[in-house]
Amino acid sequence: MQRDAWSLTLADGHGLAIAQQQVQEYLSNISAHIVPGCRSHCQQVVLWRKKVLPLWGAEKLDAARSIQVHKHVLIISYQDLNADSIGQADWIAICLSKQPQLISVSDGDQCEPSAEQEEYWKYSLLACFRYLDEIIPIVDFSRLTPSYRH
Amino acid sequence: MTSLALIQVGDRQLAFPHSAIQTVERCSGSQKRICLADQEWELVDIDERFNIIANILSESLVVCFKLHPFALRCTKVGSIDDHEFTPLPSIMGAEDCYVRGFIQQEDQLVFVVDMNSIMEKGGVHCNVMLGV
Repeated sequence: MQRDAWSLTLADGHGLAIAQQQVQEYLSNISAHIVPGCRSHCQQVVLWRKKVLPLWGAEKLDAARSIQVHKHVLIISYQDLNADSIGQADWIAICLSKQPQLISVSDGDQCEPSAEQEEYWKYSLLACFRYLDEIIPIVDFSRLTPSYRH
Repeated sequence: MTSLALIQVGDRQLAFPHSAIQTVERCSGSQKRICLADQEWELVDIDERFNIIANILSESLVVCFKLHPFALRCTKVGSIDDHEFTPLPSIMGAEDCYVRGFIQQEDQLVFVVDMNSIMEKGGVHCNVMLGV
């Protein structure tokens, strides 16, 4: 079965694909607030529609700052199927190095993740597929919480 | 709904329980310490990563903390209600994070912090520097 998806390249160099319906808004030149002491992949928050959203995948900071401006940020919705409030949407901001790319994938493109992808995404990695020469992960955002275990 | 102390330090607005504060005083730019009723506080700043650093700014207000020998220089001192408190997203969680959450105030983001832990870390850092 053939499906359309958005291929995303994070500002930290990692990639992933998401379903089209997960995209809420694409933002350019948005300011993010740096939160010291958080895990390395998620150290900033952005304000979106009066919500404070974690920003995933920003490039590493080379200097101590309180604000960083990002060129490409995508707001994504997801559902936590393990939570008590099943059906309630949650949101995450994703920091990109370039604009999202629309791609078409099929079930036959499935493949194994690289060791680096397994290490980066850990329990949140649901599947991978091959697109051109790349292995692109599909991620369950509700499992990105550090305390998540199978 | 609870009221929190609100201070401006550099670009950031920080909120924490009023109970952490002993007193708020005025000071001069060259002042290094403040003494009140047999208690002494060293005047300090905190940087963007919440590290305590020697005072380099010339702010005229200082917040003296209970339980800690530091007085933090700041530009503003006030209070804020926590009714729109948003906890730190669990996805960001880390043991070393002193931020408990946020309060949006107009277009500003106030960081609700564990000021006691920031001051404790600062105390350990100072002891290491002094070889204590």
